[in-house]
Amino acid sequence: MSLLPAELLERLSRLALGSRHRARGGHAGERRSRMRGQSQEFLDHRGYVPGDDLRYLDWHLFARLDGLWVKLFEDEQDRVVQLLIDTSASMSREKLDQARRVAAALGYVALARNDRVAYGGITDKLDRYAPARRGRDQLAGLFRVIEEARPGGNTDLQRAVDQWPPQRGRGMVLLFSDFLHEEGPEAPLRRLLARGNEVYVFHVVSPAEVRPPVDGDLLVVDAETGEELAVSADADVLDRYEAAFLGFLDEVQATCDRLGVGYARISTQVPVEDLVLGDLRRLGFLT
Amino acid sequence: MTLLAPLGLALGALAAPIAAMYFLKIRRHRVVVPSTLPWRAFQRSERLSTPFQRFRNNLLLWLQLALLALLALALARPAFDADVAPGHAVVLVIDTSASMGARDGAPTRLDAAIAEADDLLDRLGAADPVMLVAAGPHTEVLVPFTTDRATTRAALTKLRPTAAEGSLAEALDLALSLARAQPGVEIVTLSDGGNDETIAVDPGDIPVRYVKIGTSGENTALTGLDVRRAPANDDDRQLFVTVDTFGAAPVKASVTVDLDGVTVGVQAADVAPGKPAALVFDLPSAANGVLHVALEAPGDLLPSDDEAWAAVSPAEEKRILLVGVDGLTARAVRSDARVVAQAISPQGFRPEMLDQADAVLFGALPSPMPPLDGRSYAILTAKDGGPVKFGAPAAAPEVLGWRRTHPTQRFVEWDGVSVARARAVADQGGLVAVVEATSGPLVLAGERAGGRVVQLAFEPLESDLPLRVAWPVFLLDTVGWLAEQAADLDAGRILVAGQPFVRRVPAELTAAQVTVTGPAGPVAADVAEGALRVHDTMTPGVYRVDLGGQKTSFTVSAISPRESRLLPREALAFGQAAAPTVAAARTDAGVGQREAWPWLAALGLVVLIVEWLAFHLRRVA
Repeated sequence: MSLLPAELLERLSRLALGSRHRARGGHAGERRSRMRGQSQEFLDHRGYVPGDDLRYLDWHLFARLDGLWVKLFEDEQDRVVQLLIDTSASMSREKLDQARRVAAALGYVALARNDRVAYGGITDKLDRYAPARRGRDQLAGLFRVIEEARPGGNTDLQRAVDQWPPQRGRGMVLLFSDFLHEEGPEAPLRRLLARGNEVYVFHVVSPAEVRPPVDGDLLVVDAETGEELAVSADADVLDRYEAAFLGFLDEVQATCDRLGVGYARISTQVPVEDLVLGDLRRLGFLT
Repeated sequence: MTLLAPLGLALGALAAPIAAMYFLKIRRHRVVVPSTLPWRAFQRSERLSTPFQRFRNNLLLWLQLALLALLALALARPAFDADVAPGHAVVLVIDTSASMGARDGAPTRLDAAIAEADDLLDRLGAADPVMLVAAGPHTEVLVPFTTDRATTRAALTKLRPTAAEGSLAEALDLALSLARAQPGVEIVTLSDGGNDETIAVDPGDIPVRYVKIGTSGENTALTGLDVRRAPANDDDRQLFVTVDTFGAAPVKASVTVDLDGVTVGVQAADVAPGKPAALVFDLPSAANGVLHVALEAPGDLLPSDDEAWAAVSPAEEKRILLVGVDGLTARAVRSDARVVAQAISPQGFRPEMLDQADAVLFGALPSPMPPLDGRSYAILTAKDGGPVKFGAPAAAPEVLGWRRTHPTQRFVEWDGVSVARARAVADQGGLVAVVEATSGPLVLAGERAGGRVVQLAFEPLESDLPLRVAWPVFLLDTVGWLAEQAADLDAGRILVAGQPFVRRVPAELTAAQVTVTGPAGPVAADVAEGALRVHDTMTPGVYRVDLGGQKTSFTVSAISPRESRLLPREALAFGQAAAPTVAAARTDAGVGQREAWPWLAALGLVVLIVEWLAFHLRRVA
């Protein structure tokens, strides 16, 4: 497995995707769903209403409280983990590589937990789509499509999200992007949320973007649009650029917080093992 | 202002590419970034689709254009008009002859020359070496090549006009020879032109500039002075004075003669240009003292040639030894009452007799000839044995001419003198020909081994000369000239400024026993080989001489028609030694040029420093 080393996969196999929501899927899985279901794991009580299945009346409470209470059980449903990776040209190879490695790790965890995993490479459209699949035997196929991703094209997250096929049931969307586009992340995130997805943003950042190793009179060329800007980069300009870029990162994070979207910043400088086993576990993405 | 190298301005064409660099966009390094979004706040307002950008006022551009303009101008070697054109080195030749004392300068011509030199020093570059040469009676290098202006100025302020004739040619000759070793040298001559002197030296590639000093030629001067015996009485003297004027119009002059402060004569004279007036003053009998001659004339510019001095003393005896001289000649010699003549035959001659005589006349030569070094004598025969070596005899030579100014030829007329036979002269023995004939010299004279010598190249009795008046006159002139040094005749005591005073003195006399006091104080004197020599006779006036108790005197006067002719020349005349015709003068007093490129280069350096500072200060800001 070229994307991830075997030792990492072995350690990942003992982890599960954390969730701030309960999963809901069309198939029974290993994820717990907030939908009251028919599993054996008690969740809560609620008052009986006509039409409830009498099998779930809690007779012990009736005896003690002289009231009808229905027992609610967690419904163990599978999740659709949707890996959306921004493969536009702005996602330079090192950023895309880092995004692919993290996505592969999380996809591996999902498949190992019998979740269904769908993959989409997005630019200004849905560039590549791999329908949701389940089971460890789908791992090689998943990794292959992830590996095939190449940077290129412009970014239009909103349009690409619109083209993303609706998945059965509520799912988990893991969106990997640098969010370097005019419109910003808010609109596409809202659309993903509107579909009932639990959305997590993995903001891929390269240190060379935070403080570019450049100096002098430059012609900066946009990797996506080809736009050229004349810039005279000196220490002062680079200081101000760095401050502005960090402000942009904070702004994306603030947007995610405001929308209830999970946010993790992925630096290309940090090894994937440290990211997955360290940072993402600390943030609760992996448990 | 003129440009010596106008092609240098072509450098200014670089202004176009320099300006273009400010209109053209700089070639920026292309950097592909994920997105230009973060960069937009730092974008420079340039239109990338065109190679040109809007011109922005840029201090650096103006400074660079200014620097380029200064460099181009410096390369073009601009030069400004100047009174003189100093090269890299300058030899200042300043005329200090008597004419430079003329009062048509500031106030004198020498003062004007010093002011010009001072002005030139001001305009010279600090690194330009200057040499100062004084062109007076003697050429003197006052300051060798130096950049020390204080030394040069100090030497300038000490310059004084002399009363003597100067030789500008000699000074320029020396200046040129010293200047040849100095690259880029120029000779600047501050003078009134050195009279009619032709400079027989080729300046070659060295520019010689002549700065004319003086404006006028108005001057009336004493140009001749002599004290002679009165024709009527040997005890009486006459003073001969010549007055000349060099202005444009005739003048009425007045001459006053004083003898030791007592006026002994006053005469008025009408003097016209080119027609000098000769005045004769009869002096009192047995006059003894110093005559002072003063000239007054209107519009006179040069005071130094308006007075003269002459020392007179009573006639003294002249002891003459006549050896083998015929009776006619002896009588002629004895016609001078002051002459005490002793006649002997050659056989009766003894060498010790020479000590008792002031001069010796040989009509026949004794055998053997005694040593005659330091003696004054005349050999009135063409026999071998004297200083002159004779060749073959020549028959019937004709007189071609004679030196009328020579003391032995005063009032002597050689025209029509017939000579039957003369001897050609093979070796003149250091004497000069005084009378020339077709066979060669007939009479030779000169100073030799400390004495004066006259030699005939013919036998007088083989000519009709003894039958002519010229013979006794010639003999008396010869006796007077030969005995002059010893007898201290008045003629030897009237000197012009710069002329050395020479007098025979006893051999045992030493320099310590001799004192000479001039008008300005004690004067150095040399005593050697039985002769007293006083060389420093630059100051006109009376010089008192004490020869170990024996008193005498001589006078020095600023008498020189050359120096009295004041009209400054418009140009110097350079001629070749071999070609006496005057070559084209290179000494025009036109304006010269002074180059300004060093100042432009210095200014360019300042602009360059400002440009460098502006560039770096902008980067820091």
